Amino acid sequence: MKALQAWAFQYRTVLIILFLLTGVLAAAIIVQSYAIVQVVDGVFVQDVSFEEISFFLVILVGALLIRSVVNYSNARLGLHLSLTVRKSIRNDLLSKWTKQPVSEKGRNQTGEKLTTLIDYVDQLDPYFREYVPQVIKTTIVPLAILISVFIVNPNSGWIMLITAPFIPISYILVGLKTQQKSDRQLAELSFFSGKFLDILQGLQTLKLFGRGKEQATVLKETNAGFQKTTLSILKIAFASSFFIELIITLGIGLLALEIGFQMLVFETLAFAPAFFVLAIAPEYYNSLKELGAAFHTGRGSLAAAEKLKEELDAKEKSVKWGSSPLRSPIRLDLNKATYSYGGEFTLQIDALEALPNERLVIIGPSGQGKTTLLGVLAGLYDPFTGTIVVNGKERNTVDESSWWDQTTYISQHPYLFSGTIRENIEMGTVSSDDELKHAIEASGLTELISTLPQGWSTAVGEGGRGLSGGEKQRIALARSFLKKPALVFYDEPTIGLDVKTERILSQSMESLSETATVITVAHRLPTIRKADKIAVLEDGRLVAFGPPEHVIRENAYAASLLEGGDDV
Amino acid sequence: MKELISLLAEERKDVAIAIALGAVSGLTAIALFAQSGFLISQAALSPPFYTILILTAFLKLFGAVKSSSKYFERLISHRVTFQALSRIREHFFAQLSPLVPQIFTRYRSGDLLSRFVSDVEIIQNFFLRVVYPPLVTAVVFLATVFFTLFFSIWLALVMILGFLLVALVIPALFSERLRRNDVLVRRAAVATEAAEYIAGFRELKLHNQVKQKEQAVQQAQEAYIREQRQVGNVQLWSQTLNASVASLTAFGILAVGAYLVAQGELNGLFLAMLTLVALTSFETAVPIAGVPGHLHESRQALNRLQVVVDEQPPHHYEKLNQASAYSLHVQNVNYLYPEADRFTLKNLNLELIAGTRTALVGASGSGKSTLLQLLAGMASPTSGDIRVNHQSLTALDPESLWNVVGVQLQTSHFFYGTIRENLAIANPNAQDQELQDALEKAQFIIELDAPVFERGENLSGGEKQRLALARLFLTKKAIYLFDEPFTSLDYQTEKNLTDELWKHSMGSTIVLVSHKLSGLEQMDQIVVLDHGQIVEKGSYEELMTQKGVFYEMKQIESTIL
Repeated sequence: MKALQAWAFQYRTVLIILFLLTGVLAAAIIVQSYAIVQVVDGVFVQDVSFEEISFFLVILVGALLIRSVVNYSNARLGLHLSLTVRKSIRNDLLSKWTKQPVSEKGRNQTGEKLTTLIDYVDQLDPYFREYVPQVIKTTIVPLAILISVFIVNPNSGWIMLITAPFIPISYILVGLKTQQKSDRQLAELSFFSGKFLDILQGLQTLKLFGRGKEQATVLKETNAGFQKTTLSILKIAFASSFFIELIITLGIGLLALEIGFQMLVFETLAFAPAFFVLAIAPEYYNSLKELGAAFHTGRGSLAAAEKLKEELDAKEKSVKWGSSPLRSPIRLDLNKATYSYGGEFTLQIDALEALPNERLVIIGPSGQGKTTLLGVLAGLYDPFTGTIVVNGKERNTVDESSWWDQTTYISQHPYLFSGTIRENIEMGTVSSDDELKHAIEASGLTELISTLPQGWSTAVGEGGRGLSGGEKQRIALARSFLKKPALVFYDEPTIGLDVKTERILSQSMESLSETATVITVAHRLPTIRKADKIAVLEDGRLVAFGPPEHVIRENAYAASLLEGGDDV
Repeated sequence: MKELISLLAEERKDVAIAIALGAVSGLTAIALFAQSGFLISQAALSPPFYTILILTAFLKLFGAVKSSSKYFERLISHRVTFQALSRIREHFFAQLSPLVPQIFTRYRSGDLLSRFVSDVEIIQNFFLRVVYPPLVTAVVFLATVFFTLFFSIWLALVMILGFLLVALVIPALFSERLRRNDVLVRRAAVATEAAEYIAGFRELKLHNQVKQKEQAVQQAQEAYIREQRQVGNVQLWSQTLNASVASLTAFGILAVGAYLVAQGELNGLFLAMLTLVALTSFETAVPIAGVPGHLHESRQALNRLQVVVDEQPPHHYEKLNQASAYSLHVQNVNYLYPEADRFTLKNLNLELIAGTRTALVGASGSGKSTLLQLLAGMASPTSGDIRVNHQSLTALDPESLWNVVGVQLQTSHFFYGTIRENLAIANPNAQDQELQDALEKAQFIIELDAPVFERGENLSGGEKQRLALARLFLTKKAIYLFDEPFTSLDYQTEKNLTDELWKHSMGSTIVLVSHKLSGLEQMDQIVVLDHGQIVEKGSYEELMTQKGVFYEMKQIESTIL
């Protein structure tokens, strides 16, 4: 609740206007009942002419119109508040994520983050749109009505005051009861409601095992269970509104009885105040009742708000950058760097260097932190301690965009954006047709593109044409050729490429290496053989580093790879 | 729409009861206020005290009837809704079922199924939000107008006018605008941009494009917010207009009534009562405003469902002739995924001799998994034929085919429940001992009662593959088709399980899709696919001596660490 309140209080003006308008609303409600009473009292009791009461009819129309206008404005303010808060929270999330380093968990997080950004934020809607205006209404309207009733007929005022708390009390009691009873039932409910999808998704499997026919029966049983559980949960909710309506009816009945007694037995009450009380009583009880309903909807926002708060408050460890431009050729040094994630894995390297236009190859058994090391070198993450030095200056003094302009990082699973092939190669830059053609040629995409009716304007990515893993790799390569990088980071793919892509990849890396410092996490023997320097990683530590002939002597793992002959 | 109404008609008794109860609760609510207005007007005339007592007693009675009829009305109308939901689910399930799995070549299964479920959920509200409110309101209103007629025809006319405006004119005025709402489209656009921003974050970073993409998401959200604001405002307008007309009608009753009283044409005793009647009778009309919107939603959902279930179910006539062993013969098969622009399989010819083992190898995208799905009868060739012994696979009843074919795809579905339940799918009559043996053979040590979450979310990739394998060990089929069944397992486990698999499937016709080239020495035939075509086939030795594509692939694989 606190987070939600804090967000609401950021828009104090809206809240103040809501308060003021609700005050007007309360006044209009009172005036409305007053005018109705005057009209009826005039023609019925006082027997005056229609002309004499027409003044009150005008007042009544005025009050009714003001009520409509205020209700409309309040609802609009609620909508405005909800939209504004949601927009600003979404933008906060985005700007926070933009500053974050690339996640080590990679794309697995996509679903989770997407739910946070879209669904959780939208779940805040009922709180701001309905609950906030309703709370303001419920604090002002019943109080104003109560005061007016106390002025007109204090005895009715006491009855209203005494019966009022029963409404929130029964909400709380029923709420507690439902809480106890329904946790289990809600679990059951989510099982039943998920079962339909479960059966549909599993239908293929079921059919392959010859169990397709039985599923209609399973579905029938599930539906029956779903119905039973849902109804038993709803029964509690219905019973709660039954009690509340009973309390309200009882309250109004008590009022009528009290008024009747006063009018007839004690003859202390005239028609006008009596009718006033009766006309305004439902307004009083209804606004109390509505708070309960709004509270129920508002509560749905709580869980989402907590998750959002958690995400927004999470500490970020953004990569630090400076302002001096990067000049090629590039020399990279890593000094006493450590890095860890998840508390489990630690990278700890004393010294590692890549000289200008050198080929540095990182090897080691799988799961030893090779890709993480590549990420640290590439500026995707900052090391926890230690420094990375670029051409003699610490990396955090280098301008970020000039860094990315001159580096390229080819990952094992490149991501394609929804757009044309050209857009995917250019990645936001503008290039001439000739430059593009050259990049396509160099990455071996010419043949593929010539078979496409729309050439490089063919849409790929989500909703576009599907490409195979090898084709994606080649698009990533084309991106690199367009950039003409001075620094290349390459996480070599392990499996699943066609023979042709394999050839293209090795040729392309060759030509990129001529003018760049290349750091590769290698999974292929030929790559290792062409290295100028080899770094062997084990358990997050550098166990050997230097020219191949040196490393072979130092490290058994490297030796076994390089001296095993041509055909391993 | 007809279908939906006929489904509802099966619940007509409950529907009638719900409407009757709704009318009773609506009417007693009005009566309650009428009564109290009448009570105090009476009291003003100083009648004998017992009149007041009787009137108050009625007040209590109305109150109790109103609250309890409301309670039962809610209960029964929701019961109707759930019964209708069951029928709707069963109805559409029965229509979708024959189309699975072939339909998944046309629609991505995740999209199709979740849309299917949510569309069914939308039309579950057809009764509660579309059929029910106008009927109840009509009954309540007719009764109220009838009641008013006893006092003055003019007052009744005012009521009718107000009712027509609130229930028909105003909703009709706004329905067109509310129908043209793009909120969901805009929301999906935000999700699409955001998904690219999140999933492509590294690439965006590497190309200095993070800020640009962030702005793209922000722009998509601007459009989403703008649309929500516009639609919200229209909704508010329609609600406000409705409420204003309702209260102006009550005002009209009071003004006309007061005039009539002043003229001596109406007894002043009834004025308070009639005013309160007018104020309350419009409460039942409020849900009417939502009817056009919900009707439109239901209709759209229904149309979407219709598009899916209108797909022609494949016609299968023949049962597969029983035999001790089956050969598979692929003849000139081409395959084009719906809406794709290039063939995934091109003019494929292949003979799979009964009782032999064939491996399909090739790069990702070469068409090997597609070929396997065609062999499994999960999709039909665009042209050409696949024959099982001498019967054409497309003419076969798929159930009779799956009686002899065991299939394990890259990913298998697991159901919410227990390990036992998930194994029992393969053989419902199996004893616990058999289930345990199957798990053991699959090298999966786990209790039979261990829970399995939805889609097997609590199992790791390797556990899922071993559970799927255990499931297959419970069957004895003449044909087994495997699509990279061991990708998530380490080398030693994979080797052990492959041996176990060959033992279990001895004598069966086997097709194995594999991206790894090791262990293929045991296969009778290796088929190398590239871009949907067979580029080489033969035994391991033949291909290695030929020094063609397979040999080159093997060379590359050997250099990979």
